[in-house]
Amino acid sequence: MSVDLRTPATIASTAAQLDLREALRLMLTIRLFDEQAVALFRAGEIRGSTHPYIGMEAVGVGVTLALRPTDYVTSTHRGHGHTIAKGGDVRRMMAELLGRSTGYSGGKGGSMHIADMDRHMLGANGIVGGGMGLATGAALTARLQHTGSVAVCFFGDGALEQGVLHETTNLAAIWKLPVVYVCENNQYAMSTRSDWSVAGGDPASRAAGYGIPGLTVDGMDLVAVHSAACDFVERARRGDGPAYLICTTYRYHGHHAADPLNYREREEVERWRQVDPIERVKRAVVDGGVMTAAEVAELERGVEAEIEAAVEFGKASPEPDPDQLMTDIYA
Amino acid sequence: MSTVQDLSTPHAGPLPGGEGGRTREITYAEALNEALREEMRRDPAVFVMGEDVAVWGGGGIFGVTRGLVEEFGAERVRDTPISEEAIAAVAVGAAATGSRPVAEIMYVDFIGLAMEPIVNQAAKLRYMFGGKARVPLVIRAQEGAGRGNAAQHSQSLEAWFCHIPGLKVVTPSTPADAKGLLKSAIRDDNPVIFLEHKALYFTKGGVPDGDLTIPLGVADVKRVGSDVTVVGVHTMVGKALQAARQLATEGIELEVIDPRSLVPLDEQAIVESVKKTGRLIVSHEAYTRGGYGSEIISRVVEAAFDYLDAPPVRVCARDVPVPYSAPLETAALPQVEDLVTAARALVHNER
Amino acid sequence: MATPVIMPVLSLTMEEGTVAEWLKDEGEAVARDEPLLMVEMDKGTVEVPAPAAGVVRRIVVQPGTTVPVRTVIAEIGAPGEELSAAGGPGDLSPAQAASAEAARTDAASARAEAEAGRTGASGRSAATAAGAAANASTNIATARPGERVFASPRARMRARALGVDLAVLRGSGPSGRIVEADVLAHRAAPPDESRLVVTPLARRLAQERGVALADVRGSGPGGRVTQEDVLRAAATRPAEPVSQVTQADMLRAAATRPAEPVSHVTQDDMLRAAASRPAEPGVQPLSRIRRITAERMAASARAAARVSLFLDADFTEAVRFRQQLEPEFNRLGVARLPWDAIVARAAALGLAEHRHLLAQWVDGQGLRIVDAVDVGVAVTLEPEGLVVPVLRQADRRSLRELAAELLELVSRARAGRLSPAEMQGGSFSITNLGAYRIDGFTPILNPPETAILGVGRIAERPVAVDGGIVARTMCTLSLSFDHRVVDGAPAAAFLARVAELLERPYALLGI
Repeated sequence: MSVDLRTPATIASTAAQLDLREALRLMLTIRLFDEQAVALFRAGEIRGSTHPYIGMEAVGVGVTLALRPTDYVTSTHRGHGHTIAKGGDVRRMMAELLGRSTGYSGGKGGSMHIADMDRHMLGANGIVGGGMGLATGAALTARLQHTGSVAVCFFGDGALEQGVLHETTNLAAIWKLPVVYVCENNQYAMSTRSDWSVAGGDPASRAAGYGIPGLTVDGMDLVAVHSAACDFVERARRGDGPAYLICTTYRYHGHHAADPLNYREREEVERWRQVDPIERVKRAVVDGGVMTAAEVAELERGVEAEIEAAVEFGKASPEPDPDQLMTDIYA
Repeated sequence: MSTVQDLSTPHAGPLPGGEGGRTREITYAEALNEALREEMRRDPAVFVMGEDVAVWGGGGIFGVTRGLVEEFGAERVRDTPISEEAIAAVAVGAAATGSRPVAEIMYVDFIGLAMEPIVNQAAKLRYMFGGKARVPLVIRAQEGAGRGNAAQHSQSLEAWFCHIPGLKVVTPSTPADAKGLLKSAIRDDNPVIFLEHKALYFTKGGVPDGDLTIPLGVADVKRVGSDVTVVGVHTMVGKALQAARQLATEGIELEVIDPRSLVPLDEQAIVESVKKTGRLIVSHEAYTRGGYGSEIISRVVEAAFDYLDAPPVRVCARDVPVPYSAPLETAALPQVEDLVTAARALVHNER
Repeated sequence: MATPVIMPVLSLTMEEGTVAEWLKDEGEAVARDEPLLMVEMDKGTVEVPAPAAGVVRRIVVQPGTTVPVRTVIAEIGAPGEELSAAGGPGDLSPAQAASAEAARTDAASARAEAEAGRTGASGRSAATAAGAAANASTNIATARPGERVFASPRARMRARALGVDLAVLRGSGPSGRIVEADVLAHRAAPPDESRLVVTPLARRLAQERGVALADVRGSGPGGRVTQEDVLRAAATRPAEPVSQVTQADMLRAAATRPAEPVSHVTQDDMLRAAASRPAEPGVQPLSRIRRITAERMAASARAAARVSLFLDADFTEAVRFRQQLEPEFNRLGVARLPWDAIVARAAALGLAEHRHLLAQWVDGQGLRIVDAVDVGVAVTLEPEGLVVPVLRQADRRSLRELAAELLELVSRARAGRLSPAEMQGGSFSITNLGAYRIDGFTPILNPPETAILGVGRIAERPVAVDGGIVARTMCTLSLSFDHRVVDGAPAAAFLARVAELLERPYALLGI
């Protein structure tokens, strides 16, 4: 059983170093972006599917704020939050969701294949566990080329049972690669509960089997997440190897925007909304005197406007030319 | 293994590279070793990873990585646990972030475990990310039968990779081709599946000195002829040359083409040849059904239908798991006699 | 009820007719008595008027199909009118139905081929229905009109480029598929003979009887040459030399057919053979004469069980004989008395007594008995080549005649003016290398002949006579023969008799 050994003081000191205003801005951006994405999907403007990060913002932002710009992040199918947290441009993201040539991938990738290579965001990924090898490999490059970079692999509780997690963790452990595996345990893979699918019931305790640290934190608590992430990222950067950070969180929406949601109760969702991470940060910034309520409201309005502009940008952009079909298959 | 003279038949054209003009007789494995060594010296981003590549027997189960860990150290020549998916997946991640990994899958038969990172990540990152990603990755594996390794250690699976857009697939048959193509594959900014053949490792051939690079997408006419075009992969190149020698005494002249890379494929060379001969045989050790020979035939029919004087023929392995017992294995695989019979039937208008 | 259009009876003897061309399409209106279609029958092609006014509702029999008279070939009705219930091939017998069905599906390709401007279309009259059905499963030699031509794509391309009509070709590929080689072989053949439409049986018969198809008037539909035509031509042609088709067969089998007589061969004749592969650099293409010679030699070497016998004959008397006769021949207008004439006469007389050396091996069947003693004499040409003009019935002609004729033949041979007939059908050959100081050799047989006599140098040699060594004029006679046909002893007996005749040459004169 893993234990969070950090003292309130440690957490407080971390909080003091954390730019809460920026964190709030990012979290609001993520939420409003994904709410807009869901609306556009339901309006038929986004094809395929979209996987909202709504409710999980503290994890993406909390971890990413512990990283340098040259550190790597790999993501999941639920990747908008990680992209935004890594500093991604919501206009290019929205354009990509709308399949426009101005999108991050020229319209060729869609929601699950948004990447911002310049920001070392190695992409959302449509394969569960697909980012594990990518992150571990990025850590290997960092090691070989002595860049001092760290790689963070975001994955969901549904990926805990992919064989590749075992293989990459083991390899990273024996090679002491600078990678942190961050599990966003939002309680459900698609419809199956993680407390059912994870044998042994405690994902963090598996870390001990590899001789690496494993920790479970409250994923709805930005500061707790950030604090733990800082520890593990620094440890990895030092060359002490990988760790498992299991963040307990929740997605208010379904697995994707068309999820029938017949596998969980409405009451459960309401219970989790009581500990909404954004509300908690809003209270923290106001209570801590970092921002006034009016500033918070203004910030939120600013983010709304930004998202609206992003949607307009996307809708106004052209679709890709057919002559772009066969380009960029090979370098 | 004895020397197989067939495989050192001079190329129809001059070999590129080779500054000193000297040519040495070395084995296919030695040629690959030289390629790795030279590329690792040339570019510090190149590194090797795989099972038993560093220490076993001096380096690799066939000696391809011999001596590399001594020269380049354990950081750049990495033994891994038996984790094919991680080997491939981590190699992809490293390639996407500025390294140039040469990852080895010990037998191509194990590559099924690694298909996800190869097919869904390596092949597609560049395209899915709108051209923003680059995956300069080489995955080496060895194929082939004929040595009693039985069904799970004898396959030729190149067709799987040829099917996936975004991958390149290379199949050298001679030491010189192996060296030149591996160097090019390592320098290529795309994921290349580099398929060697276990029965070819100890065959010898002339390899010119110097920085020998052979471009991908250029076939090699290993024998000029006028009567039947034979496109061969791996060991079938040598068998086609043997068949050619036998048939020459009957006045039948085979033209033997080694595509060397299956993707990209030098379609033009094959089509030009068929326009001359009017008759086509494609031959590989991979199973007949769905083998890459079918793709080659389709392309030739599409491009040169009017030039065909007879239906194209596949001389490939039977659609059966490779058996263990010698007479069965021999019967399952395409042999020189099969090529001879097929060529005769074509020339005598019996097909 | 629609009005049926039937194959009309256009003459008292007409049993069947071929729909050559529809002048109206389905759906077109037609007036009564307006020309509706063209029908080909034994008297020619005739216009057939529509029996009623209306719209052509259905065409039942497609162009190129032959049907018996009174068969329903189309229907005319008012638009929307009900067509006959039986419809289509209902009125035909099953074989006819099959033919009509086959012809219908092939009509499109036939039409396309006709549109492509191929020749021979006018020569097409329909196969009989039964014939077509029967032919469906056999390996037909040439395409029956209206039938699909199976040809490889390359053959089609080559045929298009060379203007060859695939329908007249015989396919050598599997199931009679026409391949490129067939197109090219045809191209090398004399146009008049191959562009005729000839039934396979007629073609075979012509070959056997030695009838040139070009000389035969075809009485079949569209000028097709039939069996009867060939037999008629064979019966009425002028008497040919007695010889069977032997060397002619060999020439044909060599897969080249000269557009001009063999005698006009020149050193730089390009081979118009089946395979027109580009020559490798450094490889000279063969002249026809070289190639024919080579193939004949190789065939002989492969097939026969050749044995050679050597006999040293005393030519002292023969030398005297010749010296005495030559001036006499001169006075009779024969410039010289060549040794070859003397030897040929001796061989001929020997053969008349040893006729078994004239028999010829026929593969798979037995021995062909040959009566005529036609002796070929090998003549070397400059700068290269070997021809064998034949002295016919050398056993029945005088030495003077043989000498005169031989001189004439050799002269024309050297001038390249021998006709094929003069070189065909010998039953024995002699060959003389004496001028090159050769004593004895092992001459190669000239197939299908069973024996050949080589003549060596006629010169003085030391010989044992009555216990002492004297100088005699000797000549080694080398007889090669096919042991499949003749055993050693009979062959030796023949050679001994020839030697005897040459040693006592006065018997060579007509006595």
